[in-house]
Amino acid sequence: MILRVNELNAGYTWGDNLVHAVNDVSFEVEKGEFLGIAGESGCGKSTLAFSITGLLRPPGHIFSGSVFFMGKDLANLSKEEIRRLRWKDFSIVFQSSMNVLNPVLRIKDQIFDGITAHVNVDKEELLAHTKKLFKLVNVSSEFLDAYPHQLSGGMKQRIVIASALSLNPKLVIMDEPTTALDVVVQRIILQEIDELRRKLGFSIIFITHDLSLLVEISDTLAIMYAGRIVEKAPSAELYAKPMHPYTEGLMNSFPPLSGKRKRLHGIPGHPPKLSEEIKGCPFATRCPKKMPICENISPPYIEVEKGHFVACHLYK
Amino acid sequence: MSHAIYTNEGDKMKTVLEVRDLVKYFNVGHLFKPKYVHAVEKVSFSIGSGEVLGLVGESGSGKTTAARVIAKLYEPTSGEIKLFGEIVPTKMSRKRLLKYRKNVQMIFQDPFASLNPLHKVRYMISRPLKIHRLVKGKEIESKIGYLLEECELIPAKSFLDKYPYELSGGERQRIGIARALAVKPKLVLADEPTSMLDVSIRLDIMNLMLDLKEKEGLSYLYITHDLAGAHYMSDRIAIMYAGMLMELGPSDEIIEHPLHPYTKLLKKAAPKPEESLRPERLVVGEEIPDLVDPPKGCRFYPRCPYATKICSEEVPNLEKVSSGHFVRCFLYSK
Repeated sequence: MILRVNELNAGYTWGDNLVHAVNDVSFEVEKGEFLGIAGESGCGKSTLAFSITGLLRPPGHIFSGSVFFMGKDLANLSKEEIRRLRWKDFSIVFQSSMNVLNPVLRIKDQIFDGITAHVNVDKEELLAHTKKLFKLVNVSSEFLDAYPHQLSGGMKQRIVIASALSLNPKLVIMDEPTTALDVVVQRIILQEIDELRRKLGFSIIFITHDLSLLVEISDTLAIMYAGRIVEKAPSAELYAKPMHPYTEGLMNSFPPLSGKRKRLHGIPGHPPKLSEEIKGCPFATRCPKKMPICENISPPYIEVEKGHFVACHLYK
Repeated sequence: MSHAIYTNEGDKMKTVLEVRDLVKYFNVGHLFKPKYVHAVEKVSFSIGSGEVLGLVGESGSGKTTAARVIAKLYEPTSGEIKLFGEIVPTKMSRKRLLKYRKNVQMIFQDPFASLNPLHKVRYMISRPLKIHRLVKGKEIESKIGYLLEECELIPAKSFLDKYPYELSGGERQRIGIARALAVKPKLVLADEPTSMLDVSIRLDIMNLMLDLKEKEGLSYLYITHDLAGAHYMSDRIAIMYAGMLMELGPSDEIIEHPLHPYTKLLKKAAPKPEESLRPERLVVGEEIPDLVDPPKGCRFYPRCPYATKICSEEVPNLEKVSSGHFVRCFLYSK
């Protein structure tokens, strides 16, 4: 096991306001595993990524819980200790990576930066290593001296992924890395990420709002709603047998590509505001299978079948 | 070749919009050394009464430009637009333009950018009603209420005095739809109306649009990059690539039996867990051609796995392969 998140609570506070964006989240990531986390905007998935990587800045805070990464509790490390681990042992690929690159620096210098912050290597070795990285992500090494504006969106994304892999991390956290790309390019990059994982053996936490993408590519899938993980299971099982009514609703929200055209129905209503205290199950107001208990008692997150976790009163 | 063949032959429905050989170039050079982006190249299609035509393509394929030309936000470089069989002139007086826009309205992609943050919902919906002088005096309030309720913003009263920042993305897009429908248009150009919304909200908006189509007798040009969404919404689908229409046909046929290599690629790239959880591997070059200096032959040939010599030399015609199904590819030309 490479990462264990334990009853993590995080969010934002200012004055008397509190936004409880991550609520009692627990999960584990095995070595080489591809974990997908799907949820709508505002469900706390990016806050979760920031909390794990120690990048949550005020007014954001981790309230309680622990994040064990290779035996160390990241939630209790100092900034400097986390900085030393970040990029070397785990790295992050952000949403809209295209804007992550500095427009006035050459591509290679930006990759060098990340490497030299952690290890001492001479220029030649640095260049040789970066060439290898470029080859890994299928970008021609003639672009080493290019500036970001000379590259297409897909290429920039590849460079950012190359940079995240530059120090051979054990875990890569990807926060909607392909959202801004075209369908075809998106599919190709995902395919490449998966191949790299198999080749290099790192684990991935892949965060996105696009469930249909994840079902096909991840090993395990966790569904987030209103700051909580409401269901987690191996992808194929989650797709074949969704247990939580929210997951079921999400699955029915995607028109299938093939088959006869027929009317589908989404999930009525909208998610609760995380700035207000939620009593009972956060999905109760939209749930078609609501019971009296749902309004008052928050359902526990339990393992219903082996490897299949769900937080819903329907399953006990 | 008569343009009439681009309609669906089986149905004898009334044609609302007809576009023939629409071209739009943007000058990105300067006055004495012009350089043109070939954004839309000889695009022809028609939309029947009550019909939804899905226009599918990647970003940069010219689908939004085409819609903006039809909405008269851009002037076409050449080509012809006909509304109810009448030619729409390139230059129009304000009065004539107003009359055109009463029939043709647009829904924009980004509900966070398309509503003025300084105005209340009441004002935003009342503007088209006033500009087009559709209602008088006191009726306006009840008309706004009716429009909001039609777009499932219920109770309408509670939304009237809200500013856009108080609304969720889905609610904003409903305001955008209500605003477009205020003038009772015949044709609505919907430019990726769901792409900025959350997945659980998307389907609601699509369903709302389909319901309103039935109720108000609308036609849509539904622009999207999502093939599955286009299939859900549209009667016919047109596939656009690098400014050109590559394939056009009935929805089910485009999805089940795509002919053009680009359509096949799009279908392969789309997630379809209902078929298999381990999708086949895509192998393709990913660069869309430079539209300032587009390839001489077929615009897809640099990425096409079936490309032959002729593909790099000549542009294939959009040819009929079966009733209502057209494709621009040498593989199918006789």
